[in-house]
Amino acid sequence: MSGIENRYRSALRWYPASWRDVNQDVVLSTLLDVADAEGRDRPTARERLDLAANGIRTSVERGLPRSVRDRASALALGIGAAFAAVYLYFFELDGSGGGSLGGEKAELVFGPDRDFGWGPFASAAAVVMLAWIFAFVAGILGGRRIMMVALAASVAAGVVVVAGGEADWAVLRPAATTLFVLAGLAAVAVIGDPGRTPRTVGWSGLSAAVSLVAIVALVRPTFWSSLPPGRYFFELVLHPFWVGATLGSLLVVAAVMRRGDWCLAVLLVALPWLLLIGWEIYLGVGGAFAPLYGVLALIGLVAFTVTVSVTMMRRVGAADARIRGS
Amino acid sequence: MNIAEVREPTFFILLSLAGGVKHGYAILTESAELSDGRVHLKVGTLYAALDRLSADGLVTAAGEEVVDGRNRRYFALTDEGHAVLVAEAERQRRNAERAAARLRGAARVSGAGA
Repeated sequence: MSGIENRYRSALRWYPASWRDVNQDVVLSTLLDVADAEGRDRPTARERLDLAANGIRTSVERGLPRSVRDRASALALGIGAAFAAVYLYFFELDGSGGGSLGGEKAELVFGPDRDFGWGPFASAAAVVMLAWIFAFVAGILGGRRIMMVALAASVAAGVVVVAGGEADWAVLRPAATTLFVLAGLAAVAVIGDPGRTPRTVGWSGLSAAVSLVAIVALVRPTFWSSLPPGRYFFELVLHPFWVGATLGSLLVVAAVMRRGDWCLAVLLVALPWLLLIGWEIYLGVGGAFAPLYGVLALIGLVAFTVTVSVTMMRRVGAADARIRGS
Repeated sequence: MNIAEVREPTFFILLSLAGGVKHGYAILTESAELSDGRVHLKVGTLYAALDRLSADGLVTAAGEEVVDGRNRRYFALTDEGHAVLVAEAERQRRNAERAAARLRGAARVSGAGA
């Protein structure tokens, strides 16, 4: 076996084993044809990247049917956009109560000489929220690639804002937990196409509308709380209790209606919260409700793992049978 | 498949198969030729597209053979794939005609103004 062939085989390990059993020799031959034509004796960096990206995508697509991915994507896009819109309006825009309240708190901590904020916003995290809203519009209009770029930009902006520490433009940012949940929702939103059909667009719109009403209802009564806005938002609106209860209810409804695709989609959307709960329990935080969250997280993670494993085994078996039969 | 979803690489993959059954490397080279070099697919992307087109029923596997120690899998356009390609080509032709008519009108306007 030649050196270049070994290198290509190594790069193809990104693909699932069942896919390689059926396709590896064919794809390898094509890769070697291209390398011969270009007079190369090793893979290019772009080829390696292409194989890695498509290998990961193949794993996801084989494990999760398109119907589940589109449902999860539509739900996550709607929920994330609603969170982003509420946060932008209530906490990021100047003079909207939440932002100025946070500013007063920050003045108490850092002194009155600092000029907190980023343009008209409380922090540069406004970019995260604006990118989410843009992604939502692009997603439901069928611009999946634009949606993916916007969501990637939102995640990158979140990282930059967190890394900004106590800079004037970053100190009034949302809690890192809030940004983590939004990043998790972005990851779920890109696995499917919420603009694929009128029905998926409807799911996204409904998800956004219901989330918007629910979040505003949660935010309004305690608007003048003395908690800093970022942390407050996570502890109240994004709190695992509310989200867990909502997603748990959806899960029960889906299970009663025997809709396995919706069950798995809801579990996927719940994954960012489940991971966060696990992390907070690991850190020993969570207050009096910690044991309850622990049980919720454990049940959720076990349900997720079992459902995904069973679905993947069925899907991979069916796909292999189809390929071998063709 | 919704006709609006036929992107340029997909169009040229289907177009290359309209000329007959082909293996992966032949599809790559012909797509590049037909697009005047604009579509340069990577191998991973090509097989991902072929997987997707097979799942959508537009393309089907048409046998395998070993040539000079290399495995060749051949692909063919299905009837549905042919219909999608015809519809997309017609859509592009109408767009090109509209563009040409609009540009002729614009040329007359600028010529009259000169």
